[in-house]
Amino acid sequence: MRFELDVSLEKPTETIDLTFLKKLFLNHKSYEVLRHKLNNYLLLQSSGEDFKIRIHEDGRIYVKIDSDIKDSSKKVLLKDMFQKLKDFLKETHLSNHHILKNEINFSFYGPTAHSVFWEKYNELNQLGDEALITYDLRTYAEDNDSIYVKLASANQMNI
Amino acid sequence: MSGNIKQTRESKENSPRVHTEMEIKGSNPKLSGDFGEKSGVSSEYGYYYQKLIAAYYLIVQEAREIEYEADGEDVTIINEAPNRDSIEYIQVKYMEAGSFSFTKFTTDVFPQFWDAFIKALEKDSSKAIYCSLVSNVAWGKDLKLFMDRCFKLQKSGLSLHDFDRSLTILRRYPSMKSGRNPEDFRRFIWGLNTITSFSPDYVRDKILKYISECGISEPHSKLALIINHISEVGQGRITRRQIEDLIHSNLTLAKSRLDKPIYSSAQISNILEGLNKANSNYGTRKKIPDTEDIIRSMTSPIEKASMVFINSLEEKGKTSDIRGECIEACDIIKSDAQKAKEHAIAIADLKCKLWMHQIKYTQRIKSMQTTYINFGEDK
Repeated sequence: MRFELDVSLEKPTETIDLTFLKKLFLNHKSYEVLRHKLNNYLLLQSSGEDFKIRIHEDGRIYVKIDSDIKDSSKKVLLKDMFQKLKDFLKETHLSNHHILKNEINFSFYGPTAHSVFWEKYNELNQLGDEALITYDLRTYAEDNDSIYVKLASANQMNI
Repeated sequence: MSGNIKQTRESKENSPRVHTEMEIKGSNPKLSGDFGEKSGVSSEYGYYYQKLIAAYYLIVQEAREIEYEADGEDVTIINEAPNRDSIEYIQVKYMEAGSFSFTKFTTDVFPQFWDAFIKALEKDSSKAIYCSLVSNVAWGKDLKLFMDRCFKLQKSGLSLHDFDRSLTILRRYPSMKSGRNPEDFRRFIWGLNTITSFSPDYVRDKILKYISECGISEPHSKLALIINHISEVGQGRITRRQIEDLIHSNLTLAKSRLDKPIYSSAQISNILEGLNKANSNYGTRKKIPDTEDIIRSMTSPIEKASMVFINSLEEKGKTSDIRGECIEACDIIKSDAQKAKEHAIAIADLKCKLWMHQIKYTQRIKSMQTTYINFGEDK
């Protein structure tokens, strides 16, 4: 199963300086630079953990985790993923320079994607209550092996 | 005759074999009117359709095992997938003619689906639970609207609020929801699927095609054997393995069918060009619209026209015989001007929102192209 959380910048024309971030994370105690694709993305590994963070120049930020462990969905907590995002934003001061769009998106990939969605339904709503206050939950499920969940609000995200 | 098929799926971790649970339920033909009251020929065809659908799920949908109990002319199939951690209840409805109405759905289909759904939910709330209606006929207008909204709720980001709002025109919809836990009801409609206009000929062709693609000869006679076997079982478990033993062949698709295609450079270039074209048609490179400027451009001609028309009419209306009409006309023009301004503001807002989606659409396309083209290059 793969779990992804993604957020993006409110202004679509704003960009994130990946070269600056790459310099910040070289020899960093908490993150390892796995890959940098010029004008595209920077991929980081959270040291000693299973989380990866991918930052796109066009303003998207992904927190993702792959898990093959039995009952992995029960071990992966969405709030932990959200906390990882908050820690990263604090570390990079990105939230000082940019405003995030008031939505949080989750994607679940794997043969149990739809059942994971229902397992995590309450967690999703708890996260929405905490971060967005009032929001709509929408799903985009193209097939049985993946589902994309959008928590979107009219209010500023509480991050 | 009624039909119950149970198909049990166990986790691969617990058992080396995967079993699939399918339940076909039927009702007393004296109570149902779909084809039981018609001629013997059409009844027979209805029963045949049920078995065909059961064979379809066993063969084409690759369900591993079903438990079948024939009991009436309406059929429900339960398809439980262990690795997918999901369960699907399928009702099969054959009709001689006409279309399937929303009223018929709420009276003949929904109650059974709801009972099955609630039982499954109570047994294991972590499963994804689907209810699928299969029929050879098309949906009536109201049922089509309902099913279309259910589809969009799951797959196209329709919000629950918009779902409810769009169905207020369906007289029977409130009674479906009435007295039911809102969260459970939401989960139920999220999992509602349909296969419509699934004609017997089409189903048969799909089964025959699958059997042929397994490299099995005489697919027609093999299918006849399978249908006959389902009839003979009457009540009990039918496995895909049993079907394979019956036809003395493995239902394994030929390797070539399973292989992923390999694309040439020319094909990749075409795909990239296709993305460029889509971006050109639907994306944008323009700057964010200036909403104030748009509103101004749209409302200033209206304000000017409103002022000029009203002044002119008041001048003409000074004579007493058309004074009444003058007052009315001025009121209309003022009201129209106000509403036009309201729409101008909405249009400007929508143009801005459209731009946001267009720019993001463009960005996603660029990201796909860049990621593919620059793959493997060291930076």
